[in-house]
Amino acid sequence: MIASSIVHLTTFLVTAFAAILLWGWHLFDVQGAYRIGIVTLFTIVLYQLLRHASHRISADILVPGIARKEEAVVKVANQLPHIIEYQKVIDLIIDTIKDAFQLERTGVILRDKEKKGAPYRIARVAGFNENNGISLVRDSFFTDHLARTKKPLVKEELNILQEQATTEKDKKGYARLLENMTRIEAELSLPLIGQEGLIGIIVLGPKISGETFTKEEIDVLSSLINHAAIAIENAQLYREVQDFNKNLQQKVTEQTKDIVAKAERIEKMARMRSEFLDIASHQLRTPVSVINGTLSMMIEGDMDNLPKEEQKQFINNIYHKGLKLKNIIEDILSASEMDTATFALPNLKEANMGAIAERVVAERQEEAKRKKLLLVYRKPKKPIPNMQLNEAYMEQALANLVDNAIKYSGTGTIEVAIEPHGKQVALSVKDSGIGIPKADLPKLFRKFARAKNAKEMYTDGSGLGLFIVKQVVEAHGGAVAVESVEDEGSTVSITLPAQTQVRVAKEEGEKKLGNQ
Amino acid sequence: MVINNRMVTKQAKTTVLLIEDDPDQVLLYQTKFRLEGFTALTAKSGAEGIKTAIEKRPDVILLDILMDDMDGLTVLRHLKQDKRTKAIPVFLFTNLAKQEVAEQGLALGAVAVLVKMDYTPGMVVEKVRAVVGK
Repeated sequence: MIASSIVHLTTFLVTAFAAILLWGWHLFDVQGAYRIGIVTLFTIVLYQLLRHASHRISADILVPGIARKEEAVVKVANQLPHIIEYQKVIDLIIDTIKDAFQLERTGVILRDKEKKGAPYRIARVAGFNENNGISLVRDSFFTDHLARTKKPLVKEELNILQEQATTEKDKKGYARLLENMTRIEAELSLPLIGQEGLIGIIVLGPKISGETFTKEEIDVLSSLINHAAIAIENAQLYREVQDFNKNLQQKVTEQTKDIVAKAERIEKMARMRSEFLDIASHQLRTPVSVINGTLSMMIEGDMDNLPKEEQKQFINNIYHKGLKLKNIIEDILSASEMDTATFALPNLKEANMGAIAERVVAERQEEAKRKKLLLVYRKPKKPIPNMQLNEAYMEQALANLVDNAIKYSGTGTIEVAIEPHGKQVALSVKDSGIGIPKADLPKLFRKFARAKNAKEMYTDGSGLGLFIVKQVVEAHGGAVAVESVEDEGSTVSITLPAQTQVRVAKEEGEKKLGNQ
Repeated sequence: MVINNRMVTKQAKTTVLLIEDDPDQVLLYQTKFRLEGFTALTAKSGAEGIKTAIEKRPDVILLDILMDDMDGLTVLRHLKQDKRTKAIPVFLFTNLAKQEVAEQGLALGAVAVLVKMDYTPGMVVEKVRAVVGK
């Protein structure tokens, strides 16, 4: 406004000067027509000069800000490429604009590439209310407009845009925008255009002085936002790289942890293996040493000096040790056979679980008696159907369960029961032994696994027994479960489908059992 | 190998203490030592073994390693720390043929580590005789 009044003033001065000249020329007595021509020419030249000068005056002196603003913007534009921290870029832009233009408030809203629904967020506001800022960008009409025009949008301009709008939708949109900008007291919206289009918006509030933005100021701001957009994009990229690095670091940390855990597992497995080898070799040697020791005494004639009763005892012992040896050899061989991921059963034949259980119990009566335990086989009330079984394996599995019950019971009764249950056959071995600590239950069926209290009670268990039970039962299509209360006893239950679905060894090939 | 199982001398018999928890093995070695003219004491756990050693002061001890209550090396440590028992020669008598266990046993003061499977009862008696000199 001041600038235009200066121009008006200049026009007035030039006209006055021309009038004085015309009047003054009269004194020099020059021809009237010439006089008018010269004065007109002179006036025009002078007017042009003065008008130009007055513009400069109005720019540099009467409105001194623009030079300073330009300078501030150039300074920022030079600084921006060197700043990589995201927040610093935002801060510099906001602070520079707010200071240079003496604004009441400014804000930067940025688009989040990752977010689909509401992609805009406040990067920084100074003077604005955050909710107000966000309310602006909720209107996609606004963001679409800026993305399309890529030009600053002045609030006043919206009246014109509204009038010029060709569709009702646009008219309404501009009206709504005007209303919004007025409500949040925003004067100017500057689009930040990056490589992928609109990346954000700088919203400016009114100047403290109350003046409107001039064309020059808007030009200066336009050039600033080009630099700002590039700087923000760079900072975003830098941040992405940093995030990527952080993620990478995290991944490396996680994987390192993984590797360490794996190594520990392998180490533990190796330790268990070597422990197993120690125990297994001990278990293999012990019966051999008793058998050979006894036989050597027989050869050397020692036995002849012993009463018949004692001789019988020795023979009993070596037989007993021979059986033990057989069991441990079978356990070791079976376990190594079952080590493959899917252990398949060879030699399936029609057999009866009840008969197997009865036999296993009978064979262990003597051992139970030695430990003063009562070992009972509960005959089924209903007949047990024959099933396709690998009898040797199944017998070994049941033997392991009964042996465990004997081994880990101090007193009481061991009960082996079997009953058909619909399409299943359920077998259980119940003891009143030391039980299994809760902590050891989950790993119970793993190879070489031994419960803490089992190790304490009986040092040379191999940790193979239950592993074999599980492998055998599962290979027959069944399941094994254990219930136990420490110091009260354990019950191991086996359920087998009466019509067995088993994994068959390859040589059994197509005969695929199943039904009988 | 000289077996002289009829030789029961008038002089005091050599007393051997078997610390062993497997009854089959107890019967085997006890019988053999008895037939060889020894007094064979037995203890079926580590704790009982220490107690018997202190009370009866045997001439020699055969000590199993894998026992349920206490491992043989712990028993050995107790025996060697107690001045009442530390002079008694102790054989570690086991089927646990682990190098480090053997080394540990010898370091703790065992006379020798005998792997049961490698020695007949007769050979064990000989080993014991060589140490107690009777």
